[in-house]
Amino acid sequence: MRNSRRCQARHEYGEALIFRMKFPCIPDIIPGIQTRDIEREKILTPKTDKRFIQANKEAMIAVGLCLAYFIWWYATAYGFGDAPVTDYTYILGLPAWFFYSCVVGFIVFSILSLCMVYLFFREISLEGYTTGENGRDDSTADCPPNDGEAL
Amino acid sequence: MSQSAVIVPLIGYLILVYILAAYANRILSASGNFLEEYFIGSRQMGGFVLAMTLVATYTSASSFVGGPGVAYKMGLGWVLLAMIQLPAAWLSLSVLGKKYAIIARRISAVTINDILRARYDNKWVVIFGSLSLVVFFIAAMVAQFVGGARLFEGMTGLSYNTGLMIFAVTVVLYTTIGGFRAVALTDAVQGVVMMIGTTALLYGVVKAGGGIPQLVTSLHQTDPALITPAGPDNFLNKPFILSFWVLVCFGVIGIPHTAVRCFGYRDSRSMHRAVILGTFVMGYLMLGMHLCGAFGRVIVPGLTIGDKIMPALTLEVLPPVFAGIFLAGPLAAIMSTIDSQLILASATIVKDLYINYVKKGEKENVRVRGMSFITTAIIGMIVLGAAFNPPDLIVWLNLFAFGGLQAAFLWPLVLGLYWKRANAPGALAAMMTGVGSYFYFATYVKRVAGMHVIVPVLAITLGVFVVISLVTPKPNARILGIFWGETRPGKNGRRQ
Repeated sequence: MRNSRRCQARHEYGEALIFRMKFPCIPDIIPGIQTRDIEREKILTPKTDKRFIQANKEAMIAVGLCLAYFIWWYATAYGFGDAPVTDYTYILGLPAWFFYSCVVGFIVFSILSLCMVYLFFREISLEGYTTGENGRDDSTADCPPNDGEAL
Repeated sequence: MSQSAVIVPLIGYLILVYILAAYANRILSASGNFLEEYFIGSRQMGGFVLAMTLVATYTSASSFVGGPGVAYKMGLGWVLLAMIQLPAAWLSLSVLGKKYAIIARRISAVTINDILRARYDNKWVVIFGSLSLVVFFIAAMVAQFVGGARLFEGMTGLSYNTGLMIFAVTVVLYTTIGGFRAVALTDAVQGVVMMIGTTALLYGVVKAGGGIPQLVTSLHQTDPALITPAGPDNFLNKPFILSFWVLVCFGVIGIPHTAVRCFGYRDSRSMHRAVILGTFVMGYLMLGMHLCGAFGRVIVPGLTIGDKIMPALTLEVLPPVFAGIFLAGPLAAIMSTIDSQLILASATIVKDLYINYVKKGEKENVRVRGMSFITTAIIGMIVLGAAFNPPDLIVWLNLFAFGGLQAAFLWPLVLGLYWKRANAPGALAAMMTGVGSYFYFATYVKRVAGMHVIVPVLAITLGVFVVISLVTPKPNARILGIFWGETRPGKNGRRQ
């Protein structure tokens, strides 16, 4: 079983790629030994799902908005709040640092999260695979996935 | 007399919860795929329910009882700290995001460990993940039950044990019979109850204190430090408060019971709505409750036990009927956290451990159905039993639950989605180092350079994950196909 799988893998991936996968730390080019078969790797590397590219973009924007909130929160809270208490100014009865960081920050960033969704988030299908065979992939639940032995 | 006025709205609320559970159970009976319906509600949550269940699950006893109790002592600085949680909803929904939802559909995932199993394809990652999840959840649920029962006791005058029975039996029963759908629907109701409760209490407090300027002036007179960001004795110094950006903002992505919600929604539109609504609700609850706690110092001065502040404040400023509605707020926060943990713990035992490793591949049959109900009920009973007289071990474990879960799950989840090179040895090493070092640091070191220990723990865990992944083989092509490719990978990872 084990051997036949190995042979099959050898047949499919080529000697160089198997070597590459076994020893990922070895540099790509060693004089005299072919460690990479770039043409073959290109064929074997699956095409990236375009929806994931959009999802990555949205994740980055969300992290960016979080950083912006952090800056707002820090700048207003400590910009106004590190002064001695006697120098505090008050807005609607609340200390200015608190008003800007917690009250205004809450309102502004709730609105910005809305803008983020309307400006950058795209509606996409959440179906498992959009090309090739349609529908859910139940095969992983039935048979254990390739355990990597073949490589 | 006033006690019955407190109890009546509560009873009405509990009845509503039972009705929702019965409704969910009917859908469950009609469903063709038991596991997906019972454990993830067939991924049918709309935007409103998703937002509410996400926030309600995240906000627990600590946001409604413990946190405001600390705000009472620390003043406005603690409210500033609580507001760090504002991005948690948009961050966890968008970072795990649509990619996570698509992959969950590809592999029919119903638990976090299903995702880890597909990504790392390693038995030990799943087993270690499952065990740490169940252990931490049980400890956290016991602590929540204790908090809920004490609150019940403080407000209604019923004994601790009676309160615990009414409250816990309700939660366990509706979770068991209704599954995830009942959990999500009751969470939505509980979210609304929390919003109303917060509004009522904040209004009551401001009115009782004679307006916000008067309250702030009184706080200033009590102790000027109460209106500074640093708090009394500079307790909330910058390294400490900044480390909460990791613990309660970024790290929330890795909390399993909120993360599982991030693939339980119907379509991308639901997710968009939940980002907006969830952020608003989160901010509103955090700001409102903690502000009540901070202002409470003026209304009911001289309290020493933090957990008693919210009940005392409620009875002080609200008429009894409103107090009953408000009491439902924190109880809702507690119930909505326990039910989510209960259903996920049960899913983990049935799906991740039993079906994967004990009875391989057993899917749709009577036995799995029966087992799912029984497992949920049994975990509930164990937690209930432990709550009558919490063992020291549970109390101790609970202290580590929140950070421990983050240490175990954050990097394996996030790097699994975004780093192709992440592999099983790296994930396993990271999970074990994470949990181990969190226990070590939290027990012996307490604060590292003034920071909460979660910061060094997550840094170490990340380092271990990256290094171990880089010196061990790449994940195979099949896995890369599922997590990055656009077509279903063939048996050996080739494109079809």
